[in-house]
Amino acid sequence: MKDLLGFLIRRLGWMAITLWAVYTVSFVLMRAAPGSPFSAERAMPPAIEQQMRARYNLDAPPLQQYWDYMWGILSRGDLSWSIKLEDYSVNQVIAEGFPVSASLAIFALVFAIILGVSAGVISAVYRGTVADVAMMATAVLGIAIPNFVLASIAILLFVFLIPLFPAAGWGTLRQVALPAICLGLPVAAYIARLTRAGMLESLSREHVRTAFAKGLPKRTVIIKHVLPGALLPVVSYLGPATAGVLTGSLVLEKIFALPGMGSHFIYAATQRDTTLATGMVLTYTVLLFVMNTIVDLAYAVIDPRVELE
Amino acid sequence: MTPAPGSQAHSSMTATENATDAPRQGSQPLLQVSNLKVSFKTDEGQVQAVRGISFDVREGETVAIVGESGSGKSVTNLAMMGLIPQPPGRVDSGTALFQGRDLLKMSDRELQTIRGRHVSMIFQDPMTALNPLMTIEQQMTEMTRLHLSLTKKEAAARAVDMLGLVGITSPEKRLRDYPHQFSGGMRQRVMIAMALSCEPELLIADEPTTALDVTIQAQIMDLLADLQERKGTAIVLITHDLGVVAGVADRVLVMYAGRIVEKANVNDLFASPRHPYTLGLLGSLPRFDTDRHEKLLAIPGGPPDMSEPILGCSFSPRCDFVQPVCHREDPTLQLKAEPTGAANLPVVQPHLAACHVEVPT
Repeated sequence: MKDLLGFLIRRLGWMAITLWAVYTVSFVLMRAAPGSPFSAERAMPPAIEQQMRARYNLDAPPLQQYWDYMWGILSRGDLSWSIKLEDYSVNQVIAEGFPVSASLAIFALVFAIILGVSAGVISAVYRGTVADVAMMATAVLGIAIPNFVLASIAILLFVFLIPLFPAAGWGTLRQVALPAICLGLPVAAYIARLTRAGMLESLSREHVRTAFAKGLPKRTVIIKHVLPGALLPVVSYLGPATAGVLTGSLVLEKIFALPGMGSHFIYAATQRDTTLATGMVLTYTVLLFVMNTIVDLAYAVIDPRVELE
Repeated sequence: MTPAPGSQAHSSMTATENATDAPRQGSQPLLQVSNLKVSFKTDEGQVQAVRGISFDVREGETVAIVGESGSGKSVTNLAMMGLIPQPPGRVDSGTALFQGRDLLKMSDRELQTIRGRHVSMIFQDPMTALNPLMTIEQQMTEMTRLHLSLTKKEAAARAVDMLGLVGITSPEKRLRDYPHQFSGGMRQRVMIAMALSCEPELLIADEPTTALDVTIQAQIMDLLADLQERKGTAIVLITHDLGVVAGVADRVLVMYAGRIVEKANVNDLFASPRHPYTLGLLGSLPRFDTDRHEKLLAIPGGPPDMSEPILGCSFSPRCDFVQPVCHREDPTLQLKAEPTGAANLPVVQPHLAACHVEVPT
C-alpha cells in the first residue's frame, strides 16, 4: 500500500515534468512555424489584427506569453479562449469532445482486447490447425491495413451495401460500433499475435507441466497457469496501443463525422489555433500518461515479482 | 474386472526375462511397465527414445532409474503419465499397469484422476517447476480441492500441515508467499509437500536434487526417505547421480540408449556390476581413497544415434570387453547372479544384465 502511494506520487511528479516539457515544445513549435492565426488569403486590416493580437495576448513578448499562459493553466486550469472557434474556451471544446473520443477509444480497446486475446488463445491451443492458420493470416492483414482504409471499406460494405450501421453521427451504440471496430481491429490483430506467441511460450514452461502432473484438467491449466503469463506482453503493449488508438481516432472521427477532440485537433493544427492546439496536446499527454500508469499497475498485479518503482 | 497383476505384464517379455524376473517375494506390484516403446518425430527422423523396457515397482519401495542424459529415463516416466507432447512424441507399444489398470490406454479424463492423486511427480528444477504468478497456497490447494474435494479452509489447513512436514518454518505465513520468495532448496521442499499432499501411492522424482547445492541435496534426499518411511509411498527416483542412488534406493535400473541394461538390488549393483556400462559409470565416480591428482575415468565415445536402427549391442562401440558377437546380436536381460543378503530386503531382485560377456567382478 505504501509502495503504491509512493509509486503514484512519483508518477504524478513525472507527469508534471512531462506536461511542462510538452507545453514548452509545442509553444516553441507553434511560434516557430510560419504563418499566424490571422494570416488568411485576404489580409486583415492592420488595426483589427492589432486588436485581435492584443485580445489573445499575442502582442506581448514571447517569454511573457509563455509565462502568462502557463500561469493561467496552473492557477485556474484555464486553457484560454480558442482563437478560431469564436466564443468557445479551449476548456469547453475539450469538455464536449473528450467524452466522445474517450468512449470511442475505450470501446475500441475493449473490443480489441476481447477479440485479440480470444483469437490468440484459440490459435495457440489449436496450433497448426486450419483455424490457427486462418486467424493468424487475418491478423497479418489486420496489422498491415491502416484503419482509415479499413474504415472506407467498412463504410462501403456495412453502410451502403448492407445497411447495418448508420454512416455517421454520435449517441447510440449502433453509431459507436462501426468506428470503434475499425479503430480496434488493427490493435486486435496485434494483440492476437502477441497472445498466441505468449501462450506458446507459456505452454512450454515447466510449471505448466507441473500443473498437468497435478491432475488439473486442460481447461484449468490453460486458464489459470498458461494465460496469465501469456498476457504480460499484451499488457505492456496496451500503453502503445492506447497511443495508437488515440492517433487513429483523429482520422476516424473525421471519416465518421464524430464530434470528438480529434477533428478539433487537426483543425487547430492547420489553422494555427495555438491555444486550442496546446490544450489538445496537453489533454492527450495526460490520457497517455494515465493509461501507462494503469498498465504498470496491472503488470504488478499480474506478476508478483514486479516491483513498482 | 481388472486383470490379475502380472498376467499381462509378462506376456510380451522375452523368455529369459520371464524366467528370472518373476516376483518371488515382497509386496504387491504397484506399477508394472512392460515392453514400453516411445519415439519422437524429429528432423533427423524417428528417434527411438525408449526401446522396449519393462520394470515393476512394489508398494513402499524405492526404485532408482540411472542413466545419462538422453538414455530415456525421464521419457519413460513422462510417457507413462501422458505428459509427453504428442506429436512429436508417440507411445509405440507397451503397457503400464498401475494397480492393474493400463495408464497408456486411459483417456485424458481418467489420467487426470490418477495424476497428483495416486501418482505424483517432482521435477528437476524447482526454480521453474512452480508457477511464478501464483501463491504457494493457490498452487497447493487447487490440487487437494480437486482430488480430495476439500473446502478452501480444509485445503489451506492441509497445505500448512504439509509445509510443516517438509520442514518449512512458520508455514501459515509462507502460504501467502510466491515461489520467488523461497530459495531453491525451499522450493523443492514445497514441490515435495505439494506432490505428497494427496497421499499418492507412487512418487516419481525426476532428478529432484540435480539443480541444488550438494548440502541441500542431502537434506532433500533425507526428507524424501523420511517421508517415505512415514507415508509408505513408493518412489521412482530418476537420476544420473550414483551417490544419491546408493543412499536411498532399494533396487536400481541402469538405462542406456533407451533400454534397461542392468537390474539389481542396490548393494549387488555397487558390489559387483555386471554390465560394462555400469562398471564405467562406477569407475567415473570420484572416491575418497583415490589420489587427488589422478584423473577421473570417463567412458570413451558417446551414446549411439537413436534415429538409426542399432545393430547388436548399443554399448558395443564404447565397450572394453567387446566380443564379435556383440556387434551382431542384441543382448537381452539375463540372470547374472542370485541376489545377496536377500532376507533383509523388501523385494528380491535377481541380478540381471543385458550383456553377452561375463564382466569380471
